Amino acid sequence: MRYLLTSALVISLSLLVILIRSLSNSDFISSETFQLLLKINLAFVVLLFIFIALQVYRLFKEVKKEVTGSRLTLRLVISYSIMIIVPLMVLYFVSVNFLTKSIESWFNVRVESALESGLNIGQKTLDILRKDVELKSRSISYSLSNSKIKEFNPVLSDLTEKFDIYDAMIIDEENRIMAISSKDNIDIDSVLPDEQDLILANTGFHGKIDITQENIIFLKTFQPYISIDDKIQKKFYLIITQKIPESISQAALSVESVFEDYQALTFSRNSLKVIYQITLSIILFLAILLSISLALYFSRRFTMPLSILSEATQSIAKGNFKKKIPDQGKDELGMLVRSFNTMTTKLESANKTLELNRQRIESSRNFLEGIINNMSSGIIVIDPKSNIRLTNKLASKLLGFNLELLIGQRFNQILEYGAQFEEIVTLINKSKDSYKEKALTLKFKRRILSIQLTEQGTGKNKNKIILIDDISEITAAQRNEAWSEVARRLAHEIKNPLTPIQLSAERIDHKFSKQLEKKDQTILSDITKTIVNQVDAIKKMVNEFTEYSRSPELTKSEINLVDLLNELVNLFQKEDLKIKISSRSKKINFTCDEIKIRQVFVNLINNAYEAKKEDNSCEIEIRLRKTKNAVILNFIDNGTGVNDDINIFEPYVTTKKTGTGLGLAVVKKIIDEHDGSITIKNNKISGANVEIHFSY
Amino acid sequence: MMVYILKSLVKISLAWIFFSNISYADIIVDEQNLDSTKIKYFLDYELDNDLKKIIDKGISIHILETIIVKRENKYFFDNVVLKRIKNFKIEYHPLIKKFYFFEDNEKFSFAELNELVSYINKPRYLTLENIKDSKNKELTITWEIDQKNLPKSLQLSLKKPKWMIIKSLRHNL
Repeated sequence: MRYLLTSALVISLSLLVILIRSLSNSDFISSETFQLLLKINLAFVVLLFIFIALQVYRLFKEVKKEVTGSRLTLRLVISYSIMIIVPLMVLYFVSVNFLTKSIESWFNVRVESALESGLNIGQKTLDILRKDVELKSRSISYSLSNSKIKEFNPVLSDLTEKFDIYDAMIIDEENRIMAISSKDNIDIDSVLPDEQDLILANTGFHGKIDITQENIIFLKTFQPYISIDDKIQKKFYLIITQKIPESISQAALSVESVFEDYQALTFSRNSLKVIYQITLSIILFLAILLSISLALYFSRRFTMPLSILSEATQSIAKGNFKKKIPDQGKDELGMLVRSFNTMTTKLESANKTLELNRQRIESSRNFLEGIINNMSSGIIVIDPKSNIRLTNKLASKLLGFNLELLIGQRFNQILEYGAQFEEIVTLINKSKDSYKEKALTLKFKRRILSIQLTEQGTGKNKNKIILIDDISEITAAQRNEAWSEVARRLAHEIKNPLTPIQLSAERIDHKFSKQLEKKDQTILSDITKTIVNQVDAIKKMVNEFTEYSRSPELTKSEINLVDLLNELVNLFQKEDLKIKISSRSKKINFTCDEIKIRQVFVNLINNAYEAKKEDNSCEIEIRLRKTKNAVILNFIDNGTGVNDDINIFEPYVTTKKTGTGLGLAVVKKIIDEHDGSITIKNNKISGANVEIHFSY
Repeated sequence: MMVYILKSLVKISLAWIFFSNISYADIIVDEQNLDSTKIKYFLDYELDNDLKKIIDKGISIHILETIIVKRENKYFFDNVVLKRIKNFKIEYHPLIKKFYFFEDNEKFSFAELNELVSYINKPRYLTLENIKDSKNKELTITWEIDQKNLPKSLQLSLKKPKWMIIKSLRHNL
């Protein structure tokens, strides 16, 4: 842009100088070179106009795109242009007017009439001279007509000398020269008349004016006359050539020449005006276009630092503190740029520190989150405004819904996920006073949750921390332990007297039956049978307790679970029982205590059968699959299902009318002894699904 | 091919420029021999009013008669076989009210301009040597005012005035 503009400036100024200089040279103006120069200038105007038009178009495009600084540039260009164009236009119109008037003033009416008068004077002078020669011609011819032919020469010489005639010649009708008289060497050929001259001369007289190539004016007369010689009349022609005095001739021709020049100039009046107007117009356009170019250049140059500054500000607003602006000189703008750069440097430094701190905080937070997420307890942190501030995944798992969705919201909103959380909310709300630790136990979805509340921080910035622990396992273990103890004592205290009681009852029956009447014998027999039966029942119960309380002594061996299940299915041949085994593989080996696992399966099949709906046959589907690191068994029945509110695997928990409630407790115990897990849930339509998960 | 197109364009342009002044009827082959062809032509010129005004004011006018014989080429530019330029001059002396016509170092004077124009329009003859055997030749006779010899002030016009071309005659030989 800069080089282009400089070139344009140099070329246009050169062209202007040549054009202006050429105007002062009239010869040059009329030459083809001047016309060529005009055309070159015009072409340059067109080129410059295209260049500026492109620049302006680009500027408008930038304005449309809202490029920074473009509006200010446009405003400056318009202002500069108006500032330049207005005086230039005034100057142009004044110049054109002045030139037009100047050119008009060249063609003054008085000058023209003076020239015409001069020409008229010349013409009158020549007329007077012509009449004078005519008179002389008539006088000489009269004298000659009275002379004899042989006297023509001396008479003509005398008369020409007397009348101061330049050349005189007498010819006859056959164009023969009869006499001649000349002050100079006469060119006879030029003096001899042509046919036209003789015809005109025969009318009485013929005179004419001629100008030679050497700009000498001659007057020429042709005078016919009759001379009588030897009584014979002969016709002769007197030809007189009179040279106009050189002073008069030169003056007259000079006036004629000036008149010619003036007339030529008059013809060029309009052309001159047009040429000057075109030249001035080209100068005006060049000046205007150059001014606009300069306005464009300087406006852009002026707004560039502001644009850069604005862009840099926007860049910083977006967080790019590395943006630096090149030095813009020592003026106010330069100072502003330097201040800006200092500011960005400081901002960058501050931002780096901030970023470092943020990273540290982020690292700490991640560390804390890692700890919290890996804690064996669920945790909920509540801020002083009772909003949930922090939680971990285990808390969500234990409470059964995604607590992370409630972060930043009121803690009370957990009530929307279940009324059972009311106790926790009440605990939090009541804990407005200072406390160190509070706790409660919540039974929730067959789980026992321990809720502990602690405070962290001081003053108004106290956060409440809720720790949630699943103590179901611990409680169950404690309960199992207690039940095992009870069972052991029952087995020890009750089982021992049972055999003597049974034997004594049988002995009573045996000894006293014969002594009684038949009616009483029957009664005694019934009583002793009842005692024996009840003792058997108590024995059976005690045995079950013994089984439950027995310490795990597993005898493990690898067995094929599919075979074991098939064998059991064959044992359970009942009309109202259908057992289906689903397994992709016919062989799923698993190392376990076969007897105990058999007991588990038997207990589960029995349980399913006993839970069948009345008037319905029992259908059990046993699904068996082996994964990469586990064996999973599902016992799915179509029975009445289980009650969600009770833990069916706890001892003495049963929904059946008969039963000790120890079957599933024993199952659970055996599964636990095999490091497995067992869960039970109701099917969607009917029945329950017991899932056993053995890891290996 | 490009040259042919270019040539056609040039011809069209020239034809357009000279269209109003070109006459085909004013050239007659008067006599044709083995060695030469004698051509008779009439300018049949009517004096332009602007030119009349210029002459009346005593401004000398130089006239150039250009005789060009060209051989037409189909694809290339025509060959100029002959080019002859002759000078004429018209003068008027308001001082003695006489018109002069200078031709071949001869000076003819006329009291009226019409007489001078009649003299210009007289039958004119031109002898062209050794052109009989050639075909596709075109003769162009152009009478035009010599701009370079006009007074400087009259040369100022940016556009060539129409009175500058007196006559242009064309004939296919």
